[in-house]
Amino acid sequence: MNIRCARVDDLMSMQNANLMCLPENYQMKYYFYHALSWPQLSYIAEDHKVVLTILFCYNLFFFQGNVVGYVLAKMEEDPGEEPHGHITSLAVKRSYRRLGLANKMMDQTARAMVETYNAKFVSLHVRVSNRAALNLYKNTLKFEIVDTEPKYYADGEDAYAMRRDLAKWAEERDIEPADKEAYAVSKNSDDKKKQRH
Amino acid sequence: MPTPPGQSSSQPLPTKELGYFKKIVKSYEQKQYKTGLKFAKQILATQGFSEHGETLAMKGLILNCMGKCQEAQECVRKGLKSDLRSYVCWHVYGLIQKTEKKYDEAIKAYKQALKLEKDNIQILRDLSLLQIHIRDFDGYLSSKYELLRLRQNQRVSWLGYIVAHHLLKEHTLALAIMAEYIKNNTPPGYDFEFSELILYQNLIMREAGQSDVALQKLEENSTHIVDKVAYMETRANLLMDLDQPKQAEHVWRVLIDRNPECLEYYDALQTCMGIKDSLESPKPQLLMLDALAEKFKKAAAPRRLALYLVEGEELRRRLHEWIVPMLRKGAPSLFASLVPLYKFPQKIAVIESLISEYVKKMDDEGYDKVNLNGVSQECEPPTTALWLYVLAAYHFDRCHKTELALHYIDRAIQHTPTVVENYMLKARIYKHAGDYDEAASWMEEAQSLDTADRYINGKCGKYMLRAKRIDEANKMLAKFTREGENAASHLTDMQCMWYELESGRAFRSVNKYGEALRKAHHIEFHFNTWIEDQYDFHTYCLRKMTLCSYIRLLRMEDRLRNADYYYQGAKLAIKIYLRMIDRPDDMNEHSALIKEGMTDQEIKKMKKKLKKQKELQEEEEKKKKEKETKEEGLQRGPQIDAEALLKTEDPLGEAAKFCHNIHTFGTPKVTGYALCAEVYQRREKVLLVLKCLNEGTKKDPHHPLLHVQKVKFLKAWPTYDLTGIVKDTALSLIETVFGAELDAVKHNDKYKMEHQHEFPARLAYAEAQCAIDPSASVVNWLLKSVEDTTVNERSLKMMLKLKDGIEYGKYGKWSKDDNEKLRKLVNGLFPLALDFGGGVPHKSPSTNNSTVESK
Repeated sequence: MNIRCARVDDLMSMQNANLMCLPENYQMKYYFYHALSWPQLSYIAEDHKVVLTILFCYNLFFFQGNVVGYVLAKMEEDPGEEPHGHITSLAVKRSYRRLGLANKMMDQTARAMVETYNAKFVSLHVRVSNRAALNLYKNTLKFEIVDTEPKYYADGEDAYAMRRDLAKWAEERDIEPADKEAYAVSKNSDDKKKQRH
Repeated sequence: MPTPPGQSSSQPLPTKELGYFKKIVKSYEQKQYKTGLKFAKQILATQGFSEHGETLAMKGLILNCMGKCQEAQECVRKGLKSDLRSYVCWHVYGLIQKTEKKYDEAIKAYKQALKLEKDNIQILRDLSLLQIHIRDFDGYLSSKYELLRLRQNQRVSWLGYIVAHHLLKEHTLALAIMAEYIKNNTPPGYDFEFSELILYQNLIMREAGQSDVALQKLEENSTHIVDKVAYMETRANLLMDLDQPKQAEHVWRVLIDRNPECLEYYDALQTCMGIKDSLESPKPQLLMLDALAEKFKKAAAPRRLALYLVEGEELRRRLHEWIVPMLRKGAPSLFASLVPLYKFPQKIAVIESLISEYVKKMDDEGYDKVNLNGVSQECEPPTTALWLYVLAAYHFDRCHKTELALHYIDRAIQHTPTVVENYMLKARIYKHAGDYDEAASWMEEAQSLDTADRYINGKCGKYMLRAKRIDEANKMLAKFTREGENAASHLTDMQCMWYELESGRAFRSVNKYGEALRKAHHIEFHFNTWIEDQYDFHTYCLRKMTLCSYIRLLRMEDRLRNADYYYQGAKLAIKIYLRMIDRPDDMNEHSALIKEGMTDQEIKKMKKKLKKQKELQEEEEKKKKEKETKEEGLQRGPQIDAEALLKTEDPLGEAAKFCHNIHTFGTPKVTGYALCAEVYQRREKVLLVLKCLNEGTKKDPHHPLLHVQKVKFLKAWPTYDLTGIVKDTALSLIETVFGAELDAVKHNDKYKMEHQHEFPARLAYAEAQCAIDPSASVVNWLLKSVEDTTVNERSLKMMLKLKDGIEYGKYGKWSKDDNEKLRKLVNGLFPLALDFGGGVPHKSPSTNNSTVESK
């Protein structure tokens, strides 16, 4: 499997994978919007097909990709809040599960959120009934439930709002935030807030 | 001084009415359309202003936003007629033309408006947007120049002007303006937008071929660039361009450190190290991959890549290390990771021998006592056996050994009856073997075990469509679409391509060609939508500064229709349009009821009956549609009527529209060129035929479908009467494509000789032969080919092609006996294929009678 940052050219396959895997779907324009606003944040996992060619009497082969999983991500740019990322959608095709693809893609996305946008944490929503996803987010990806949002989904189901702290995660891995000073400042103010509580 | 709207025309408004007019404009801007219409009514009710041009224009504009397009058009036209000297009327007329996608008209109108009102910023912007949208780069540049002249302090003016130069490949100018802009606008600290700008500057430099400057600027600005991946990838590529492989190698290694699963990095690394495609032994690529695998213990990429480089015993050892942990872990994706290896026959043999060895060990030692790694260690977890049987089933399915595949999947199910994937795989095996009914029923079984998973739901729907169970499929899919809405309209709304295509094919398979065409047109509609979608980003990206991605978007949009889904949809449509011409009776979905041997009177009677039936059906559909329209209110999405599509006067013209989209931008499919050649041949567009044959030949000179078209062309060539430059061009293309051999019969015979061991080529020869001489008899030769073991690729897919082709009349006359002979022969080869009278016998649904097949 090949994991790499998603390009505009991948969006059609991402939409296709999304429609196969998840009940929440979006029109192409929304994918465009992601890729053209935060080009660093979305990642794909692609499986490859071998294509054989003959060039100057040599038998050569090259790989042709096919999206089997993706993370579609964005930044929440609310001026009142500290900068943080949000996972709009994440899916891995059923036949490619248990390879740790979601984990690997999410780490790349998280890293870009810190490096490019100074994100302090990353948030997402998950259906309360989706045990498999909940398990992945909680145990593998270290997200925590921060809230329940009633009737978040179109069919009336509630969502857990989850968060994963990135500040500490980035520090442990020597990941440099985009703006070191601002990152440190907001970190201190965070600590203060905690002390007050 | 710009003239304000309402006063700009030959019909200036008095104070009171002007007040109303301003309110119309305001209401329009605030999207309070009803209020806007009220004020418009006020003015139009005033004596002397009932035909006020600008008011009518604004009214039309508002109506257009409310979705009343027809009314809007009339209103705006009327307004323009009564006030030709108003720039507002022209501007609005342009806007309305734009929503109707009449871009040339719109651009003309904007330009007219600008003649009347020079330097109007809004009109200039609208004009520039359309110009970039239709890729009129020269026009775009001049509009952007005007905008920059008028608004020098605005950032987007500068950026627009730079982008315009870049798109015109005027790199030097683009870079000069960029340098000027950067000099005056370098931020002190973190600035995402500046980071993007620097990367865009770099993109232009690289496209200008200035790798050295690009690298230098990249380094100078490295602290400003916050897109680390883009920075490093660009840097590494530049270092490679500048012949500094050692430095480049270092950067690729850092990138691998960040993301050890990115295959492109490994490839580039090999190039830098000068070991790509090295034939030395031991292979240096292998040493590199092994070292990285050792460093990144969790990374799959270096281990998997190594599998392509080794053979024999070494491959066996490495595969063992790859497969056994995955069997223990229970990764259903194990087989998927091996699939690319099946391109290499020697590797398949190694995989098969490993699988057999494991299975034998399991059988000999008992699955709860065995250890696949030797004897001394602990025994395997019980699930290892399960995943081994699954792997074996996949393997034999892939090798078309249906019986063995079914044997192993049944063992897997017996081992653990609760694993959903097992039933999915069983369904897949039946699908490959041609029993679509059995396949769908096993997929239903899988679906019932996990009703909350959309992936299985979708697969189940797809399998039902293959089994021609269209209504049931829609019911199944509706479980995951918006409540109270039918699945089809929701999936169309969500631009679900696989569904459009599969349901289109399903309709075709039950002779509902109108509905099938409708689905194909949905695909066309989605692609149009995606082209429209870029419009807003022409402004957005200049503000957001994400210019590299924007440029990529523009280029992607230009070859959007190269996508496989587009090709498949277009193919579906084109073939139906051709069928309309070749076999008009097929368009009646009950035409199969008219059988050979019926008397004229019987046929007449039957036709009458069918006509009545159809009328009744149409009536019903109409009612149903009306009801739906009422329920949903305003209908969303494409409004395409299946019956109307079938009634087209010019099917060939419709087909040609699809062809235009396939070949104009260069399809990656050789079959695409063959298909287009067929259509153009019928339209006698000689040069287009030759262009397609030529492009196709470049891709694959021996492709069977292309061959058929070549022969058809050679046959028709003497009948064309060309002169002048057309003739010269044609002759030179003919030489490239055909060389010296211009005789259709000889060309075909030569092809037959050269490809006699390939079944697809034999089909092509037969079809071409019948095209040359409709009385040619190819029946016996084709029947012999079906059972000739020296002929390769006698796959089920090919047999279906043959069968469909016979029905269509491509292979001459086949008697009832001939068809029966064919059926028997293919049934012998593919006993489960429903299309040839095979399939699982259905006594009681759950018995595993599948082993009765023989091969």
